Amino acid sequence: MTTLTQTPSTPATTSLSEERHYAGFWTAAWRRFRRNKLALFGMVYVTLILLVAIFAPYITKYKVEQIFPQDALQGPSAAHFFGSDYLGRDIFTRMVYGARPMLIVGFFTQIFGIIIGTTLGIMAGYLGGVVDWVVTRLVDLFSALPWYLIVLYLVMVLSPSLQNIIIALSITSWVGSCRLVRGLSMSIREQEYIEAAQALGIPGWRVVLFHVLPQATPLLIWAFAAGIPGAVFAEASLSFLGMGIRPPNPSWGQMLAEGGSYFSYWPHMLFFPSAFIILSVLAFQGLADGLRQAVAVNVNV
Amino acid sequence: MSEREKLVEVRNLKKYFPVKGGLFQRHIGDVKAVDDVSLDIYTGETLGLVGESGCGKSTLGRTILQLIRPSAGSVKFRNQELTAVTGDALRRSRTKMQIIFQNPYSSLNPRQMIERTLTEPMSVHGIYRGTEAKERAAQLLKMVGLETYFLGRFPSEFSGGQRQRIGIARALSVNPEFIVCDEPISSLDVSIQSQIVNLLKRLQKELSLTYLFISHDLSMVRYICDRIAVMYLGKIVEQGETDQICGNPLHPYTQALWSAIPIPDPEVEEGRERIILEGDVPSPINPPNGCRFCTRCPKVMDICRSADPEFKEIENGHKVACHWYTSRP
Repeated sequence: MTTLTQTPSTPATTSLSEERHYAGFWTAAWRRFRRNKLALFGMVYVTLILLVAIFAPYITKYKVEQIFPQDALQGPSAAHFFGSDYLGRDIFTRMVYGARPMLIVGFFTQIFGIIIGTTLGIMAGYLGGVVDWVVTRLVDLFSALPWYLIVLYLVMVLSPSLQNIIIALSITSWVGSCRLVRGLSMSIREQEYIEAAQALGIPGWRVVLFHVLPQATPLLIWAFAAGIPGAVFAEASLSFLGMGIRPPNPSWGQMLAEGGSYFSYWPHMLFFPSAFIILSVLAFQGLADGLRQAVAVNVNV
Repeated sequence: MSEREKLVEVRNLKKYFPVKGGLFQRHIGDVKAVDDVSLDIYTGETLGLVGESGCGKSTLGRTILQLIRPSAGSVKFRNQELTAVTGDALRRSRTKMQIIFQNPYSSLNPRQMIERTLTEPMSVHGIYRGTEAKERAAQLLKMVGLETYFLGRFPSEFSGGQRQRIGIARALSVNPEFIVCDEPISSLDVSIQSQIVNLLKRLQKELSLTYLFISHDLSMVRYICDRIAVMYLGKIVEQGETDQICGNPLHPYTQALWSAIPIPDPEVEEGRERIILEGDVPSPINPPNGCRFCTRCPKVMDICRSADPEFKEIENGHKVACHWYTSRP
């Protein structure tokens, strides 16, 4: 009997601050994330490409617009890792610098989109009524119109530049997160702890900020990562059409368009941009997928 | 008896939820969840509110707290009219009255540490701040029988009974005088139920609290309550001291409710006759004419189908709404 009562489950030392803990939400989420190999690849790739974009001048010894006329249209070599293009520019250098607009467009459109979407969505879901009606109609409107045409039109009107691509894409990218947050806050509103917060006299803005929004954060992190591949792709395709980053500034989509015309004789000009666009979209998608799996479960045991 | 101080005074309280339907979402009727309810709750007592599921018990509790604004009628707390208070004033008045919820699994914010759950209301109302609030939170946990190191944990790390204790501690964090207990024990294990009920009783004595105890567990209500009100389809049908309601139930519905409690003695149980009610509770959208219980009442008379019975005092403090006692020839 005495041995039974001395099982280690009774903590011997119980101080106020430190004591045996179950895995917290984020610890458990990381454990689930680790299991997904594609997500891990995505994370490593995204980190690498981020570092490459930030430290671009240290990675390559050439300048973006530097021309080597004698080296034009060469395949990969020790001097030019990815070869050179029709003007004799180093493709590796242009790829490294081209990662910058891609990441900037991806991150900023998602940040703006999520800020707009979350604000509208949480108001619609939590307040309901007229606000909800107006927001829902707005979401309907933007979902009914083809977003790519809106973006293309806006960029044409505003003149193609990095900043205008971000504006145009932000205007269309809030719809998804808005719909997501609206649905979630509608269901959270009915939870008893929201009623408890109201009964305790906690002001409405605090209820929204500290009781509704935290429930949505895991989902928003996922939505953030999941929206980036779309933005990356949109930037590449806009530049491909000549509506994006203007030469001489490099962009992968623009390089893809140039590579397309030399494809039959010098395939390396097409290969590297397209390979990295595909890889980036895949990596972000994998990362988003892993995050979704990691945060979807609400209970931790 | 009669000098007792009225803490909460409810008069002709009504809550109708509109029902919309048809092509243009027209107003086609009302769910009469609370229909013309009047009751008094005295300082320091426990008033039990019993009735079937869906009879409007919880709605009544929430309407008294102004969590649901009433359609008509008045609620006075210490002679202050609550239905007229709005906005920030209402928010500040929330410290006087609190609620304990039925489901301990959905009533705690899963992303909030217990410390935050307990200190947030204190700092919002400026009762305690910073380290004082943390000390007070630890003290509250001790009061409800939990360890102080639980402050750094999340709700998912607790059992149902522990969560319910945290819910009680949260309600106490703003020093209320009146607490609506909305079926606080019905989703707990039987062994935990008595612990929570005893905790509520102890806290009532220590902090001189007043309870409105909503439940459908009649034996528990009999144990904890000083007075009992019986509700049927949005109306109070009988009200009185616990001894009166238990010893001498007057309304046929109350009689049927009591006879449904099993007696843990096979010999008594065998000889006992049960009143079994026929049919279902009618829809609160379209309640029957006259007395609301007339469709199921074993003692139904002609007058019951046409006239609504008056809520009348039969003996000292014992009120009933039934024609059997008032208009029997």
